[in-house]
Amino acid sequence: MKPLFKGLHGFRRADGTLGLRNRVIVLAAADNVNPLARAIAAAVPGSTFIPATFGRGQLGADLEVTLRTQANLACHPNVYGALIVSFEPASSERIAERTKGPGRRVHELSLLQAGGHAAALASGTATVSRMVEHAASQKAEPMSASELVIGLECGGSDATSGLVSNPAVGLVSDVLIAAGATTVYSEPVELIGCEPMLDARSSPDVSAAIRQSIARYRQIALDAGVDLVGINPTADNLAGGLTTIEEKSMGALAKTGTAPIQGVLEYGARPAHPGLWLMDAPAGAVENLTALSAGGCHAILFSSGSVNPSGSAVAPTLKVCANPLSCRSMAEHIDVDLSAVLLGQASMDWAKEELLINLDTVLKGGDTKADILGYTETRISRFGLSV
Amino acid sequence: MSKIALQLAASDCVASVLADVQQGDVVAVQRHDGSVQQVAAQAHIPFGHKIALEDVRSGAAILKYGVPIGCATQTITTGQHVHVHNVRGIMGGCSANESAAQEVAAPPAPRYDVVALQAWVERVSLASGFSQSAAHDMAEALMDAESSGVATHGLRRLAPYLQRVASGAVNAGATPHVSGAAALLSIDGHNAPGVHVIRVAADAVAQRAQHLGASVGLVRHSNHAGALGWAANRIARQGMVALVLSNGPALIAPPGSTVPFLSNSPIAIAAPLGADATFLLDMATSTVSRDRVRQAAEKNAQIPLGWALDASGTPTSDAVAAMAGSMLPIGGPARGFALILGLELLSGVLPGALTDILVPSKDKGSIQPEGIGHFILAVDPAHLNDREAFIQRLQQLEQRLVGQSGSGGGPTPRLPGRRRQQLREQAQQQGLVIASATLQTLTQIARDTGCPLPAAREVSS
Repeated sequence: MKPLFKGLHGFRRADGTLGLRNRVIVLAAADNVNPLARAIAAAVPGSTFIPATFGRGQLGADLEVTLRTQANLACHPNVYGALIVSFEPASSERIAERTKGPGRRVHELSLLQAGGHAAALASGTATVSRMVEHAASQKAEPMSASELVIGLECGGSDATSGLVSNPAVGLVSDVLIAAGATTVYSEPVELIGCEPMLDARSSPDVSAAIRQSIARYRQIALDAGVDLVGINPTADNLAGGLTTIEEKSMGALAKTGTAPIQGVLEYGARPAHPGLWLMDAPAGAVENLTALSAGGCHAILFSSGSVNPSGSAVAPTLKVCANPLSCRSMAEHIDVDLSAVLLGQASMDWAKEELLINLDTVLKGGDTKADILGYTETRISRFGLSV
Repeated sequence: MSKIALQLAASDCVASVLADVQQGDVVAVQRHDGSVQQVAAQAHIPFGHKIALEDVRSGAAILKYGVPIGCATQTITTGQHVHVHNVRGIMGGCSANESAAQEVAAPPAPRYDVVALQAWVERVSLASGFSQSAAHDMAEALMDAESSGVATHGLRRLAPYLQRVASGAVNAGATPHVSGAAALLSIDGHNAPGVHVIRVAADAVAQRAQHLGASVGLVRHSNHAGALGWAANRIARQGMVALVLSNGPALIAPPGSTVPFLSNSPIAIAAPLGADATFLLDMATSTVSRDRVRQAAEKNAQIPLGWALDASGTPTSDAVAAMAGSMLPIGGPARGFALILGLELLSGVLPGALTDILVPSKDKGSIQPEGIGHFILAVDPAHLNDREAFIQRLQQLEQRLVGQSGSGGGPTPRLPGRRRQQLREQAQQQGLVIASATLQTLTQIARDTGCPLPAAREVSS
């Protein structure tokens, strides 16, 4: 049998991982230095700006998630090096500290220490252009499919998602797991009603953690006065042919294939070993892609029906769609068009192969539609209020 | 071009159609194993909706993605549209997992003869100290519920009823006393078994209504009386209209409170419907019966939100927490609670029975008599020479109701009582399948009382 993704190459990192890209990122530690970080990234072609949404006034678990996510983005396998930009040194230090273990190229820049914008911009531009130059000279080495971590996401779902695009992603997840790779899916809130099916695919401990995570999102909605079980399936879903909440949730779960579930990851945390993992993150596409990226996903398969345009800034994100209308009207946002299955012209087996061929191209350096159009956003979810 | 449907897993009994399908269209189903199955659509099936690939019996699991997504609420035949009109979700209250498990367990469940079982319940009750007529009532009431599909009030109840007698909480040999010279009767249950008290009271009220045109019985010193529909139906079968109410131990908290104050008071309305048929509404005033929560708690299963609150007054899906908390009334917390207050007035306060939190709760281990009350009303339209015309008007109403079927694509509406009657006749002909947990307790009772269970009978089905 021919190896999966034959000829795959990656860039070796100090922590032993291999990355598919050699990105240099300019990461703002807090919202007050977004202008500086943005200006540095704009001054150095080939670098990527990662904005901060807050970063100040955060406490406890909420602060911890933000710092972990920022640190994990700074030492993402696809990232050659990072410049962490802050106002005062302390706020970049606490992120850089968390990257020390993995031994990565992380530089810090303080607006206050540099003595204002002009000086900081000059210093930051010099640091980042040096990193971009060095990154370009790094040699890639052969990489096995078993070293891959691939995110599984769905959004902008419609009736075609549960029928074709999610099951196709599930078939690919099974192929990846069989090759010894890691896949990560998320959005526990979309699994309500699937608990018995998840139990069958997990150990008692993992199953308890999954149930707890699903219940937590359900409770968040209840606290806001919304009973997700009561309103699901929605009128739209019913008109689309979804009869029960179990059916709707199974449509979302279909993107995970059939592999056993290894465990529940905290928001933005890295899987400990290969296999299929569930990450505890809210369902909104941008914050979810941010969580999957921080979790170390090299690339993300994003199944969509009415098409959600978002992609990750560090993990190339492929849009997979089977809705013939969307595939026509939103073609410039879609990487993998599976509508032939829906039109009765192709099989699910074809869909799996089509998805694997497109993934192969992207893994080996091809740009996704979200990369080309610049629909790459970063937002870290909040788990508490600011003070 | 032929219409196509996709089967997502090999075991699925449904496929999703990939184009709008009209009735009579032959759909080419691409099966998961790569083969193609031709299925003639029996209805219009919109794009993305499901078509049945095989016959599915009522209650069986609907498999999609290879897992149960719900269960059939009626028999579904190949080519039918499978949607909300014939499927209920698992969180929506179906137990498709059990159905699926039952399908795997190959040998057909043994069936028991209704008459033989009823005679057995009577013997067991006699052996447990019941009077002859109380034993007869117990057997008839339990078998009526069991064979009408109301298993929560059927043979499952025999063990707890006998325990109440054994603990001294209920006086199995007591005789209810009826007094009152005119239309209004007072019935003192003397702490006899509730099914016996309510039968004596219902018969007395029916007899008085036949003489006077209407009668009301106010019952006190009674106990849990089973499904009230049994007593209401006795009156309806004599050509009269019946209303039967009962109170009970506190399960429902006032709006905004966490402590249960009133029962989920049941209500039954029955009327003759021609031939042997009756209209029969029989329900508790909680959103679901307490027994469904208890059954879920015994299995450690989840319940849908909206059924119950936990002890802190928070909506819960944890059945065990719900048993320690309170049930939610029909019609919303405020209006539902007000309705039950009205029912408590009629069935508890008016007869002078124990009411609200004064009713000892057997759930909390009380071995005190419940001392609850019932309200029984019988109206005989024959006194206005109107019985036949009344029945006709009700039948015409039913025809108009059934005539509306199909307007929303849902199941054919029917009058309450029709389904129970159908199930009863089916059980009498084919015998009864008894849930395995119930069968275990019955076997134990048979051992304890020395009355062997009747043998399961061979039924060709």
